[in-house]
Amino acid sequence: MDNILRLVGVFGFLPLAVVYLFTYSKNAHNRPYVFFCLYLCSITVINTVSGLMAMNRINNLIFSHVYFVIEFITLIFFFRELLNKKQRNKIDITVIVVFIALLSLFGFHGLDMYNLKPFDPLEILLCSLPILVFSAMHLYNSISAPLKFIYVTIGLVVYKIVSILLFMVLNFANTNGNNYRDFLDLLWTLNRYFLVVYFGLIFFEWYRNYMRMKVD
Amino acid sequence: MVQELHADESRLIVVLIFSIIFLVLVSIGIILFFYFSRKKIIKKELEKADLKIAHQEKILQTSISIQETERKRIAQDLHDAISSKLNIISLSTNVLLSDKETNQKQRATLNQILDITSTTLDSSRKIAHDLLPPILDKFGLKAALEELFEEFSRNTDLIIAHELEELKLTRTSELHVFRIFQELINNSIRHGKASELNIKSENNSGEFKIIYEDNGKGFNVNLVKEKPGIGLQNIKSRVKILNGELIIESTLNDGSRFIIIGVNESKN
Repeated sequence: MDNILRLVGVFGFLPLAVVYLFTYSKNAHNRPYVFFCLYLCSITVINTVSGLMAMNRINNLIFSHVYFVIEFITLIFFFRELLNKKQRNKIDITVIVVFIALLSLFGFHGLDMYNLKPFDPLEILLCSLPILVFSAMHLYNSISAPLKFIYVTIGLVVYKIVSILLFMVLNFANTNGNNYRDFLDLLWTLNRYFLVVYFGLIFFEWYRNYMRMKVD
Repeated sequence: MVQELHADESRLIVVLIFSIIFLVLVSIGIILFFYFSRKKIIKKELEKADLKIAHQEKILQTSISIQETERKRIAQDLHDAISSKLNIISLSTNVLLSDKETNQKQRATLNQILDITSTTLDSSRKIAHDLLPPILDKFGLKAALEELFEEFSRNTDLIIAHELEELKLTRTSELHVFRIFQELINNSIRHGKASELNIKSENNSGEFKIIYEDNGKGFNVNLVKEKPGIGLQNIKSRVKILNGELIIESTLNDGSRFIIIGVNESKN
C-alpha cells in the first residue's frame, strides 16, 4: 500500500497530463485550460526526473526548489486567466514581490540552490501562499459566476492549506532527520493521501467538463 | 535520552494530526460556505428572473387587452362615423342621379362618386370586420369560428375538418379564443405549410378543451418554447388570460398539435 502511494505521489501527474493533453486540441481556445496543461506537464517532468534520480540514489534535492518555483509560475498564469481584470493587477504585483523575495532568498544563499535547504519555510510560504489566496479569490468569484475549474480550485485550496503545514514541518523534521524517522514517514504519507484527493479532483474536473466536447 | 526523543516525536505527531484535522475542517468550512452562498445567490437570481418574467407577461397581457379595446373602438368608429357618412353620400348621389335636370357629364361624375363611395364602404366594412368580427358579438364563438374556417377554406387550399361545441365563455374570452384560432391557422399556413386542419372543441364537467391539429412541417417544441415568436407568445398570453393551459406537441415533418384546457366561465 505504501509503495503504491509512493508511486502515485511521484508519477500521479503523468496520467492526468496525458488525459488533459488528449483533449487539448478541443480546448486550445480556452486559455486557463492551456496554462493548466502547462502546469501538469511541467510538474510531470519535474516529478518524473526527480523520482528517477531518487530511485538511482542520486541527490535530487534541487528539484524541491524547481518544483515550488515552476508550480508557482504556471499556476499564477492559470489564475491570471481565471480572475477578473482588477484582480489581475494584484496578481502582477504579487508576482513581482514574490520574485524579488525569492531572488533575495536565493541570493542570500550565494545563488547556490544546494546551499538552500529543501522545504525552506520562507520559500514554501512565498510560492504557495499566493496560490492559496488566488484559489480562494477564484472560489469567491465563482459564487455568482459560471463555474470554471471549480474542482481543481477546491482541490488546490484543500491541498495547499494542508501541504503548507506539512512541508514546513518537513523542514523541521529533516533537520533532525535521524531523531524523527517515523514522524517524517508520517508526514510524507499524509502528503500523499492529500495529493491523491487532489489528483482525484483534477481528474473529475476533466471528466465532468472537458472529456466530451460541449455543444452550446 | 532516547525515551525523551520518542516522547517528543509522539507529542509532535499528536499536534500534527490535530493541526491537520483543524485545517481539513477549515477547508471543508470554506467549501461549504462556497456551496451554500452559491445556492442562495442562484435561488435569489431565479426569483428575480421569475419576477421579471411575470412582469413581462403582465405587460403583454395588458397590451393585448388594450389592443382589443382599441380594435373595438376603431371598428365602432369606422361603423358609426365613416360608414354612416359614406352611406349618406351614396344616398345623396343617388338622389342627384335620379334628378332629370342632371346632364350627361354630371351624371358620369356622380356615377364615379358612387363607385368610389361603394368601394370605400366595402373597404371600411372589411377593415371593421377584421378588427372585430360582428358575428362574434351577434351569434357567438361557434358561429364566428365556422365563418372563419369557411373564409380560410374559400381563400386558400386548406381543408378544415371541425367539430365544435359552444363553449361557456364570456364575450372577452370568446374573442381571445377567436384570436388564438386566427393565429394558429395563420401559423399553420405560413410556417407549417399545412394542407389539412383538424379542430375540435368540447366541454367536460366545468372545463373546456380545444384540440387543434395540422399536418404541416412540425417544429422542435423545446426550441420554440425557449425562443417563441411573437405569434406564439401572443397565444400563450391569451391562454394565460383565459386561466388555461397550453400543451404543444410537434414532430418534425409530422404536423403539430395544440391543446388548450381552461375553465368554463358563466356568460355575460
